[in-house]
Amino acid sequence: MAIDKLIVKFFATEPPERIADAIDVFHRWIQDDSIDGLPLDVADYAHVPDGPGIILIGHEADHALDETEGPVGYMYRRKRLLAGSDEERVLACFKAAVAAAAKLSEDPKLGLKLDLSRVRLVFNDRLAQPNTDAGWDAVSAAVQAAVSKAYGGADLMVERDAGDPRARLGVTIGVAGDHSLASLAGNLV
Amino acid sequence: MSASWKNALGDAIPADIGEEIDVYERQCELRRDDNIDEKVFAEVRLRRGAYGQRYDNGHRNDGKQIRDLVFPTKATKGPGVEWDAPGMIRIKIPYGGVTARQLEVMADLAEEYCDAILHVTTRQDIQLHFLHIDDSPDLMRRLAAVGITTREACGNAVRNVTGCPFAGVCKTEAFDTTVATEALWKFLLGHKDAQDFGRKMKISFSGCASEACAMARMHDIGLVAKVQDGKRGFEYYVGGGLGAVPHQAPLLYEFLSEEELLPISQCICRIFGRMGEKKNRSKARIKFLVAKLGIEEFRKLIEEERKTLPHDDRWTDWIGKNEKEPEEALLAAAELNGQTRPDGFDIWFKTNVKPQRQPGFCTVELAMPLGDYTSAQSRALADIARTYVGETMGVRLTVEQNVVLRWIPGAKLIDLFQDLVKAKLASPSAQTIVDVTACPGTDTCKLGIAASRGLAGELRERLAAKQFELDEAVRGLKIKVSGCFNSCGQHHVADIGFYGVTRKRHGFSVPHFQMILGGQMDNNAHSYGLPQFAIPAKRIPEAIDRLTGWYAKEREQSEGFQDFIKRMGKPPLKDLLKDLTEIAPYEEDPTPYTDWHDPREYTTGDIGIGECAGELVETVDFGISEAERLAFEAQIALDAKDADKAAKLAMDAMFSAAKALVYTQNIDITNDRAAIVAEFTSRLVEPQIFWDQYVGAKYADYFRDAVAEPVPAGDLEAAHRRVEEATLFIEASHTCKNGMKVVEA
Repeated sequence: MAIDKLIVKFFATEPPERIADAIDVFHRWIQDDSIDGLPLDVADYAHVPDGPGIILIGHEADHALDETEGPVGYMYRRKRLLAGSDEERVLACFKAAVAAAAKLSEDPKLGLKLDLSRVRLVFNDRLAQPNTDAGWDAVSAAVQAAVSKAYGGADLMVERDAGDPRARLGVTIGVAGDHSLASLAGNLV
Repeated sequence: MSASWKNALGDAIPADIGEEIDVYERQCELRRDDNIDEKVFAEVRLRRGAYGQRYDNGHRNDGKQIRDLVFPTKATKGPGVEWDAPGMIRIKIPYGGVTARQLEVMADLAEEYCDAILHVTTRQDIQLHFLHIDDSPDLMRRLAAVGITTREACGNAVRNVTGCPFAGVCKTEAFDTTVATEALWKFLLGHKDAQDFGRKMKISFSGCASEACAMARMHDIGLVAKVQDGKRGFEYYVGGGLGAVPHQAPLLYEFLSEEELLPISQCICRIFGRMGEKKNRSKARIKFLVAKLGIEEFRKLIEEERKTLPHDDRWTDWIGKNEKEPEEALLAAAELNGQTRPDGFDIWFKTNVKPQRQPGFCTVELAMPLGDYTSAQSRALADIARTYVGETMGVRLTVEQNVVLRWIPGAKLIDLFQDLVKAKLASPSAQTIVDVTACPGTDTCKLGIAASRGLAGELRERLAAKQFELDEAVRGLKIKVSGCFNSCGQHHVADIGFYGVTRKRHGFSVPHFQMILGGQMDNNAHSYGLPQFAIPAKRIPEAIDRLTGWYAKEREQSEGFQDFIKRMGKPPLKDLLKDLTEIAPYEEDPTPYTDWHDPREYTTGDIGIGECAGELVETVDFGISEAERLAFEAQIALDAKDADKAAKLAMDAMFSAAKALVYTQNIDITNDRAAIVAEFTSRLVEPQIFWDQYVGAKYADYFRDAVAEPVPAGDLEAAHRRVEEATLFIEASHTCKNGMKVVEA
C-alpha cells in the first residue's frame, strides 16, 4: 500500500526553554497565513510528560513541537492522502517539513536549533506499512532514495526501530556531512 | 482481496456489530453524496459516538479576524457542520473497566487517527480528538475487535453507564455492583425503548451510600447498592442532573430488588420516551419531567407501566454472576514489608494508594494531568496491568479523569512505583488539590465559553510546585472546572468549582469564571455548591491562593471546607477577593483580555451550536432513513444484475418504513413481518392515515401486494419493478409521517 500517513521529525540540539511558547508562535502562523495547507487550530499538551507538546492542527498535516518519538523536536505529521510514487510522497512530506522546521527555527521566541544529522520517520498506518521486515522492505528503497535526494546524495545510515512490535514502523536515518535547512530546501526544489 | 481493516480483522469483529459498522459506513457515503438528510445523519453519527468539535462550522476567529476554513469536501455531516472538519470520538467504557489489550488498541487509534492523546472524561469514557469522519468506520472496527463499542456514546440515548472504580474491592460497599452495571448497560444498549428520548440519559452505580466515587444522586438514574433482609438490591434515585440547573435526584425506591432493576429501568425509559419534553431542548432531561410530575406521580406511572411490560428473560439472567465468577487477583496477597523505599515513594504512597477490602491488596490511583495520557503511556499501562493485575478486570477509569489499578499486592508496590516512574505515571497528586478536573472547554468544545483546560493546567502547574508546603486540609480540597454552565467538569460537586462566563469590561469581552463553593462529592454528591461571583480568568490562581490561605488560617480545628464557607458567609469572602474582580483598561494591560494558554484576544464569536442535545430525530425517521439505505442497496444490486438480492432488499426497505410508521402507534411492534403487515393495515391504512387523497391505498398496496406476491427467482424485470415500488412506498411513508406531525401539531 502507498505511503500516505508519514511522520518526519527533526530532533532539537537546543530545545526551547518553555515548550508552551510554541502556542503563541503557531497562533501567529495562522494569523499571518504563513504556512502551506489549511491550518485549523492549536492544541496544547505541554502538561503531558513525553507528549505531543504543542500542535498546529491542520487539515492535510499537523506541525508540532513534539516530545513523543524521542527527544523534543519539530514533527510533521501527514494525515490526508498524497499523490505520486512512494518516493514522491516521501519527498512531498520532507519538503513541507523542512519549510515549517525552518520557519520554527527562525522564530526568536523559541530559540530552537535542530539537529539535521539525523531524521526520524514513522509510518503512521499499521495496516499500510506494518512494523515487520516485509513492511520495511516494501518502502525501504523509496524512502532511502527520497532522503538521499533531500540530503543532496549524502550517505545514509538507516536504523530501524527494534524492540516493541506494537509500535509503528519507524526508522532513524543518520546522514553524513553538514547540512542546513536551507541546503535541504535547495535540494528539494 | 484489498487490504482493509475489515478484511484484516475478519472474525475478530462480532458479526452483528460488523454489520452495524458496515451500515454506518454506507450511511457516511450516502451523506457525503447528499443522499441522506443531514439532520438524520447527524443523529446517526452522534449515536455512534462521533461528535463535532469547535470550529466545525467552517469559521474561526484567529484573534484578528474571523477566517473561513475552506475544506476541500463540500458535504456536511450535520446542519452547518463541515464534512472535513475534525471531530471527537467518544469511546464508551462501561464502569471504566478496561483490559490491557483495549489500552493497546486505543493507543494505536490515538496515534494513527488523532493526536496520540487519550483523554479520560468525567464519565469514564475515553475521548480522542481531531478525528476525520472518513476514518471513523475503521476506528470503530478496531475497537469492536477488542469488545468496545462507541454506540450511543453521544446523542439522545443512554450514555455510558458509570460505576464506582473500587467496586468489588471497597471496604464500605454493600456488594460489588460491577455485574449489575454490566447487565444494565448491555440491556439498554440499542434497546428499542431507549431510542425516543428528547435528550440523553446518564446512569450511575455506587456500591455504598457514603463515598463519592459514583455520585449517584447527580444522575438521571442513580443506584446505590443495598442489602435488605439478606437480599441484594438498590436505593433507586431518578431525576438528578447537573447542567445549568442542578437537581438532586429524589429517591424513587428505598429498596429495589435485583430482579426488578432492569424492568423498572426499562419502564422509566418508556415513560421518558413517551412523556419527556421534545420541543424545548433545555427542559428535555428527565429531571424536568420528574420535577413536573412529582416523584409520587412518577412512581405511579412506573408501576402502571410495569404491569403491562412484556417479559424479557434478560431481566434476571445476570443475577448471581458475582458469586459464579468472582474477580481474581493475578498475584498473591502480601503486605508491604521492610523493603528499601525509593525517593518519592512515601508521598506517592500516601496520596495514591488505598488498602482494599481484601487483606494484602491495594488500589493505586494514577493521576492523569487533565485526564490526558499518551499512546506510549497507554501501552506502558497495558504492560503494567499484565505484570501486576492481569489482562482483564484490573484497570478502571474514574470520573475524576484518573486510572485505578486494583489487586496490587502490598509487597509489589515498590516495583510498581518504579515501573510507573519509568512511564511517567507516578505523579503523587491523586485526590489532592493538584489533581484538577476539567472538561474540554474552548480547546475543542463548541459550547465552551472559557478555557477550562487552560485554567486547570495553569492551576495544576502552580499548585504542584508548592503542594508539599500546603496545609494538609488545603491539599485535600478538590477543584473542578467547566468551560460553561453545562457542568461537564462537574463544578457543582467540588469544594471549589468554576464555570466559564463572559463579562463586558471597558468595552471588551473578558473571559471570567463563576466561582462555586461548598459542593460535596461525598455521600454520592450529596450537596451542590453555590455560585459566589465571577472572577476574570487570569485572576483565578491568585483567588485560589487567597481562598486556600484564608481557610488554612481561619478554620476551626478539623473544620471542613463546606462548613467553613457556610460559617464565614459571603461578605468576608467578597472582601477577600473583591479587588481581583477589577481589571485595568485594555490599553494599560491587555493580559486579562486573553484566556489561559491562548494568546488570541478573547471573543465569544467562536461559540457554536452544541451537539450535546443531539438532533431530535424520532425512531420513525431512523426507520425511514434505513428504508432509503436499503432501497439504495437494492439499486446497486440491480446494477449488478442480482435480481434476487435486489428484490429482497426492496422488500426489506418497505418493511423498515412500514414498521417505523407502525411504531408511532405501537411501541411494542416486533420484527414479525405478519404482525407488521396486519398492524400497518389496521392502524394506518384502514383509518386512512397512510392514504393518498387522489389514489387512496395505492402506495400501501405496493407494500401489501409485494408481501403477497414475492418476485420470482432470477426475474430481473420484476425485481426492477419491486425496487421502483419500494421507492414510491418510501416517498409515501415520508408524506404519511409528515401528515402525522401536522395532525399532532
